[in-house]
Amino acid sequence: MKHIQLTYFRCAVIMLTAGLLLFASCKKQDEWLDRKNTKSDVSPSTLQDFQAVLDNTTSFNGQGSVMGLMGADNLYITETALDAEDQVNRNAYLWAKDIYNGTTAYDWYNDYRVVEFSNIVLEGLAKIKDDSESPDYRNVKGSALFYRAYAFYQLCQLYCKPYIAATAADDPGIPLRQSSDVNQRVQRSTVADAYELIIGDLKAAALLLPEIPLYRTRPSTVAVNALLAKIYLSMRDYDNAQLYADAALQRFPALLDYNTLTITTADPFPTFAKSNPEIIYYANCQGYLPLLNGGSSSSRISPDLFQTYESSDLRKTAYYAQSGTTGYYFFKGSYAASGYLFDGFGTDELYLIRAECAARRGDLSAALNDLNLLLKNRYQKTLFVPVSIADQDALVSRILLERRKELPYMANTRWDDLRRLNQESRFAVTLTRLYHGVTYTLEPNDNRYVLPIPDDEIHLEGLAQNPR
Amino acid sequence: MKTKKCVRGLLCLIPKRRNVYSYLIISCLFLIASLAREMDAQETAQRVTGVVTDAQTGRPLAGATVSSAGHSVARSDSSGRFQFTGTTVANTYEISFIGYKAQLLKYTPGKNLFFVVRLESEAFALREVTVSTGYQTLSKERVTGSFDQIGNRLFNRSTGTNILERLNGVASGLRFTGTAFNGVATTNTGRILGINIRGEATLSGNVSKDPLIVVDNFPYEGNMANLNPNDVESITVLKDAAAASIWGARAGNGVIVITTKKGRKNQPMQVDLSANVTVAKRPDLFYDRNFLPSSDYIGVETDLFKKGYFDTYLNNTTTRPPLSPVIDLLDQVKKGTITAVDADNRINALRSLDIRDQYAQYAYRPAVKQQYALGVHGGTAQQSYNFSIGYDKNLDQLVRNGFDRLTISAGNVYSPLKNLDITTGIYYSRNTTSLNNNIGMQSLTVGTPLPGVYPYAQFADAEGDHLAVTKGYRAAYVADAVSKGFFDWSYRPLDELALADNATRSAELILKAGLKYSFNRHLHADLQYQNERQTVDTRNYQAPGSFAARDLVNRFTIIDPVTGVKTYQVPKGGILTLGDYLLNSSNGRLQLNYDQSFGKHSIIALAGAELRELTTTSYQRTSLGYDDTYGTSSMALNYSTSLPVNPYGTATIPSPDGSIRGGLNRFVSYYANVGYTYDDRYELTLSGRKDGANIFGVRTNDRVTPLWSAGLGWNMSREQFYHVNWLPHLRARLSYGYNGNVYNGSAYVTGTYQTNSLTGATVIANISAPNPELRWERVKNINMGVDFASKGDRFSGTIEYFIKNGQDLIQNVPLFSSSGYLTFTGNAASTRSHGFDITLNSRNLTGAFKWNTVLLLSTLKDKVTEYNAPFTSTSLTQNAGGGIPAVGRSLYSVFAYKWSRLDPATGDPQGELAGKISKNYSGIIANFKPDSLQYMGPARPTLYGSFRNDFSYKGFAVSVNLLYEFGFVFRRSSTSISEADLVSGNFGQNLDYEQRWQQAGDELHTSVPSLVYPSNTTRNTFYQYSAALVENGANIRLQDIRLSYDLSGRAWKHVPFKNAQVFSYASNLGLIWRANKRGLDPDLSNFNAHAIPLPFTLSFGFNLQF
Repeated sequence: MKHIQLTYFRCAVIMLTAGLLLFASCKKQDEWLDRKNTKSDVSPSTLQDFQAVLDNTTSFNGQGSVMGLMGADNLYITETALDAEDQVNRNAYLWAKDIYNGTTAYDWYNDYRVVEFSNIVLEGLAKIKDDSESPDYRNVKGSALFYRAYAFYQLCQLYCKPYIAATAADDPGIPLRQSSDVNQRVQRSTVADAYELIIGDLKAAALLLPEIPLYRTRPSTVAVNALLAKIYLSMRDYDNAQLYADAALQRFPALLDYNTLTITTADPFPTFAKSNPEIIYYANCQGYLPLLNGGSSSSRISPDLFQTYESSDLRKTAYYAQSGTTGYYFFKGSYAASGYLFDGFGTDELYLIRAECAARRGDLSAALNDLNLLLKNRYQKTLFVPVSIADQDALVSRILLERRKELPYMANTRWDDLRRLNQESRFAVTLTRLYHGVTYTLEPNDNRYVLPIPDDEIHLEGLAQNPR
Repeated sequence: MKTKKCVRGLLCLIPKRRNVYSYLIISCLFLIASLAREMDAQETAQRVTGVVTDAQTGRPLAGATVSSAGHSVARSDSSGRFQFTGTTVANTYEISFIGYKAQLLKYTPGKNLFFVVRLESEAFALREVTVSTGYQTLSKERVTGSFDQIGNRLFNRSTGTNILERLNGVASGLRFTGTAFNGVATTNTGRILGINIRGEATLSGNVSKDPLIVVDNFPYEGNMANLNPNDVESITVLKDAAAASIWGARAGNGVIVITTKKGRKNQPMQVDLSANVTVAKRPDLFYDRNFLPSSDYIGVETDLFKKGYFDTYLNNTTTRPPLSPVIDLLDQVKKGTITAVDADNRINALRSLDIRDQYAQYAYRPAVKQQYALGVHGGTAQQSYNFSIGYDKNLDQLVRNGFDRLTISAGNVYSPLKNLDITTGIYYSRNTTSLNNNIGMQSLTVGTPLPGVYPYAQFADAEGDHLAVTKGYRAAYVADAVSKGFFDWSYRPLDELALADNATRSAELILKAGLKYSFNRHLHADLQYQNERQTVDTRNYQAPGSFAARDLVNRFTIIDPVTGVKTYQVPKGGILTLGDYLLNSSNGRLQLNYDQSFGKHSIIALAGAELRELTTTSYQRTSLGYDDTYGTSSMALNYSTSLPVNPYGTATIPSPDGSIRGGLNRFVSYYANVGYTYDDRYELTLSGRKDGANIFGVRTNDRVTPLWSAGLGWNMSREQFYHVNWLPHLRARLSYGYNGNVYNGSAYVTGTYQTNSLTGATVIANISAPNPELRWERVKNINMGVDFASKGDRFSGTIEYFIKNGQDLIQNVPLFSSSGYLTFTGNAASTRSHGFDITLNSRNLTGAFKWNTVLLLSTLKDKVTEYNAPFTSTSLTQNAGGGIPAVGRSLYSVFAYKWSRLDPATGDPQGELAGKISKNYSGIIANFKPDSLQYMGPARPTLYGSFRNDFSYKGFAVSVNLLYEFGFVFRRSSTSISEADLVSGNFGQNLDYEQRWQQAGDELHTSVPSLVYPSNTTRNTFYQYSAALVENGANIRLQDIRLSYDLSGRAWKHVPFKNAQVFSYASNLGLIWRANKRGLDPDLSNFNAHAIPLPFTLSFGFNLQF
């Protein structure tokens, strides 16, 4: 009997221990397991997190689209250099029917990454307390709207027809993804819808953003106005383009005097850290090897463009360096140093937009004022002779030439200008390339001014392909 | 107060659904406790008890049968003990055990109530009889799952520094994938063991495909190289659910339980001393077909030069990209600085050079590995102990690379009270891996446009003076550097080899403590704790004279062209890179064990709870301008601004990384396991486990997953009706259950915090696609097994059939890129694998001359039953050599583009499109549905195993092991058919170049297409992934031969040792048959990879026992 009692006692001890153990675990277990696995991991949920998502310059400012430049007439690649290029670059340069050959289309993908991350932020913001008075909240929301709009705009430059008021409601646009849910399928919108969304978001962002940002990689009211000016210009809405260019320049008029620079060096412009006064918003392009600044680059400045620079034009030396012993020149003058192409907004472009709009509206003196203000900062001080043209058409042409000379490798700007100007027969150009005895021609308003939608979108998402 | 808390604790558990498991476990404890009480009460004075041990080793034998007149009355438990109720008349009992000579036990009522039975082994090789799961040790006769045991003798058949490499060819169902044992893992998940058990159930690269490694009682997280194989007593491989479910969520790919040597109580001191040395042949550098000999390479260079391929680089006077000596010579001819005849003579002199001769002479050597081990173990009535020390020194086949290791371990079990065992253990290992050779095959780089070194490069001239190889910049630019005021900018591989000072030092300390309290003979509680701490320190000192240091300083040196004044933006001196990785794992376990037999019933049960925490931290930092004499470096550098660099452009100084990376894994587990045996004929096992882990982001209730298994065993040969005399042992087993797999992924959007180099702001990068539906992977296992042995054990074996179904498998699903992601991780696949694991032992000759044969045969058929990742045009290329999953096919299916002969007019490769011969390569690639492709077969063997023969005569023994693999295909490399790839790519060069189509008629005897320039990517992709390049992988390999002589100390009176063995062991003897006709070894990755076959090795050694 005593033996049995002892056994009962032992059992009680076991049960007690087990019970305590499980009791402890019952309460503490979830707490104990509620620790993240990797120190640096974060599941963005606070305002600070969302700002940190948007501050990732690699995704938001580092991979702008640039494929249009490959097809534009500011650069040319020699036959032997093109032989040595890979197929995608060759396809883009020769306006081939297919460009990507099934490989990832980074111009498309990188911009849609910006769209996805912006959507993540916008959805996350909707979940936290709407403290719409706080400047931080307003900045995050405005920034996300801006980044998404700019990404959509860059996609429109490449993958749909230019905005033509008469047909925009029918022309196929891009998928306007406004949700971060990857399971959601979004088909192509129309061009009109795309521009409406882009402009609407930018106008909303303008009300939220600060005038001048903490870092130039963040957007601001000035940046929004600059982008709106660029977009309206591409839509050939010259009134609005002038309005927004003016708004931006009123607040941010600085120009960089090239006379103060050592223009012979490899990177003559103040780097990001030393803040170039012209930069309103900083971004650079993702690199295609032939476009990169540096001696290995195989793209050269088109000789007909190069010969338009006068000898007193400082840009001739600041922008270009001679390629070895060949006598050809390659581009080195990007506002993004270290071999990247600049893809942000600068006051130089805005002066040119405002000048063009003024000239087109007949306000020639305003146009000349802006043009000469810019050129004064580009020519050798002692040799500069202000432009004076009395004929409206001649002035518009001259401003367009200066635009090409000022922004030769500025991402897709030239490509977008070609798409825009081809709509006016007086400015339309036919591009040609000669390669291994075959002449390749790109007529104005050719279907090949619209790049093919990447294969994976056709196969996995069933998007409609562009005719080429 | 405490009782109240307990009750409240229990109440809080019961109503919640997710606590059903806890409740079951508690019920189990109740059951165990009450049974223990009942059984104690039933025992009577008529009880007969005893213990069965192995006569030679003294080890207790579990599962021995005590029978009377053909009826079994008792069996020994895990400690070898048995008991039964004696009869009232004198009787004779037989104590029998498979593999041992039976013994008779004379029983007289009232006398000899405790017997010690020492059974003599009758088998040629010791038959291992217990299996360890890491939670308990069981008699193999009482398990229903699939266990494979590798005993000490079999384990030590081969030599090797790493434990796992000794398992190759001796464990059934275990396959080596040829990627094992490389390097030191410095990340939590960086360990790749390169083995799989019964194939793989996991698809994703983000989920560990490794089996779980358990050393003694706890999972081992450190580097396998830290462990000394001489400390290993035995290894158990757990293959099915019944075996592995006890390990829960991490056992989806099987478990390997390593049991180390320990002392036993009442055992005289035993000393083991062993030493061996292994010498490997110089590796065969000429095996690799991914090589273009100098003459061919020069031909390609000359041709590309003529076509202007190098013009951009030749004209480059800014970044000065490096070009090979041949291109430089051709350029000089073009510029008229040398004559064509002169250049031809110099180029022709290069044609006969072969860099592989240089590698063989200067970079490689025969590897030598030495291993020494001393072990002591024994015990007194109150305690047992073990102590061991081991030392390894390996000289790698790469000159100046090597490994050395010191291990020390000690363990002690002390019993201060009758019912209490206190266990302590310590294991210390420190090792150094030297990585000074950076000039091995394929490790030399030149830089764009020539990534790999040219095949006519020379390391030294006839006088032995070190020569420079082009690297980083044009040779002419480098030649001028010194006169311009720079440091010498040339790269001499042999100087680099001599200067290198790069080592990884790893230290590991494992501390164990345990308490075992026995409440009575049947019930004991076990409390165990283990702490494992591993540090891996990397130190790479690049001396001021090294190329890396000179190059960095030169790049950032500004030399004033007028005054010649030099400004060093990066200070002169060396570069020191230090890294530190710390792993700390703590494990605690409380477990109750119950083991009792009464009448015809016998129960073994356990229940327990376990907590595990694994933390890792690591950092790496670089010091520039480092002076090794005083240990000083320059700190005040401008890392944020782009500075002008040579030869051209701007760059920022590489900044020291100040970030600390850290990881934390937490697991909490509850488990219970019951085995019930009736009359030694029927066994039932049940096992349940609930695991929780801190999977980041997953909803709390998904952090915990329940896994379970059940098994049945039937000992047919013990049935009354069983009268098959020639097959006295026959047993059938069946098990069913689930294993899991942890994926450290996230259901939510996650990213990592970083510091932005442009703005200095804190930013979030690496944002991953969210998946709120992420679940744990589950693997359903069914295992059916039959164990049998003929009379006298002449013929014995195991046949198992298994079905392994993976559910909710995590995979990377390709996404349309407008989602912002290219892939996304989801539970979107199911697989079904099935196959046989067969082990057959045959004792062909048993006289003085003995001959034993062991055949291991495994089959594996796996099929993807559900797969939501659609095929895309890049599916083939993204899964290069390994194969891809496709519904209805193998997990690793090799698909290829349909191949038709070469175009006789152009030598273009031709495929098929819409049933017609086609050269529309883009069209073929875009037509990517599996039905349009040709299915070539699985990429993993479907039938494999080993065939071993052991011969012995007196003390001499010879053992020969063959490995075989059948039923799979592999994709081989060929030459790139875009000519520029032959100089610009890291891959693309291949001896097939010599068979390329060059003129009409060549298509009759070659399938290598013509080369084209400019490059045509789609044409090349089509060829590389066409059916023409897929080969049958079947092969038979002579793995190893072992020769030994055993000397028993008893036979020789004047020797100081008990037993001794001297042996010699030869391994990697090579393929003796292969299905492919090209001399390729299918186990070496041939596709877009450079492979050096494992060289033939020969070992000599001895083992002594005192």
